[in-house]
Amino acid sequence: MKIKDGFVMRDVAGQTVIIATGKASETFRGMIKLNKTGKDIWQLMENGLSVEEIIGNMHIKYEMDISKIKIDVERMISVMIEYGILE
Amino acid sequence: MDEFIVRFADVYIKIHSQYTYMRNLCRDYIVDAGRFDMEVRAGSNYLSEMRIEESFSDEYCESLSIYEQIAKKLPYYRCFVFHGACISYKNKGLLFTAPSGTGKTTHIKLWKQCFPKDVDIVNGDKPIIKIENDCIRVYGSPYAGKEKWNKNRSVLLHSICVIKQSNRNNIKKLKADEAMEYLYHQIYFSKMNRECGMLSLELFDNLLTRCPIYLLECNISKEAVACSFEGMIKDE
Repeated sequence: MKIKDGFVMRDVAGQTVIIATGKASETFRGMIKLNKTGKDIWQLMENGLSVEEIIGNMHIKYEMDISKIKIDVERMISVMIEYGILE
Repeated sequence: MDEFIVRFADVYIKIHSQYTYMRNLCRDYIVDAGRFDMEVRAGSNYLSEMRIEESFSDEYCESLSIYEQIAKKLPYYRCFVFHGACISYKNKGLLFTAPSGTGKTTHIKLWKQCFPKDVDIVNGDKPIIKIENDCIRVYGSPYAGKEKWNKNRSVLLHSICVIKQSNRNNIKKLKADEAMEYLYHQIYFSKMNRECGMLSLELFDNLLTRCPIYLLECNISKEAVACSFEGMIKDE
């Protein structure tokens, strides 16, 4: 499971924004806004980490309960699947 | 096949077109230049892609497609196409924006009625914004909506105003993050490749953080103009 090619991320007016370019823009036309943890999850996915590895990383970084992090990560991934961002 | 060079926002563009409509549309922007920065022609499927309404003629579809092809490359020149109506009020660029049918044209028409000597309409529908290091300018283009109100000139962007229909008149300044929601839909983002996507986002960030942006709730009246005037010009 990886993020399709062509998504670009940048901070715009203090918020993290993502749009699709190239082939990905044919199926995804919107703009994604991410909060800080969303940005971390996205970047870890871009770096090719597995879901388990992402959860592990987030657990170390935020020192939060693993079950809560798991819910957040899985929720974000299911949204990404729903919008055709992953392949 | 016709070909000629136009200058939009100080970018020299060589246009190849099949129909004379395109040359006529661009007549005020045609230049006699020995060089050009980009070269465009309509996209290969322009008839099917651009015929959003059945009444659109082939030549009109070609012209729309050519503007899209130009817009795709404009970020390389720190420019982008913006959906809005731009007027110059005493050489201050006021850019009114809203979804089609909200009343941008009506509102700028009222500005012209209220300040006939001080208002010049730069473009009624799709001007080009150029983000420079020290200033932001709005340029006219021949793509100017049904009324075709356009001038081959530019003006320093003073402020942007999002228009919303309402019974009463009220104006407030938006924070950059609030303005993002409104303006995202009004900008042509070039998604041709990663580089253009990143450039588009950078230009968008510049626009949001450097230009004052207002939300005007208004009706169709001269009071609505008084309200936007008070908010954008008088309160500086």
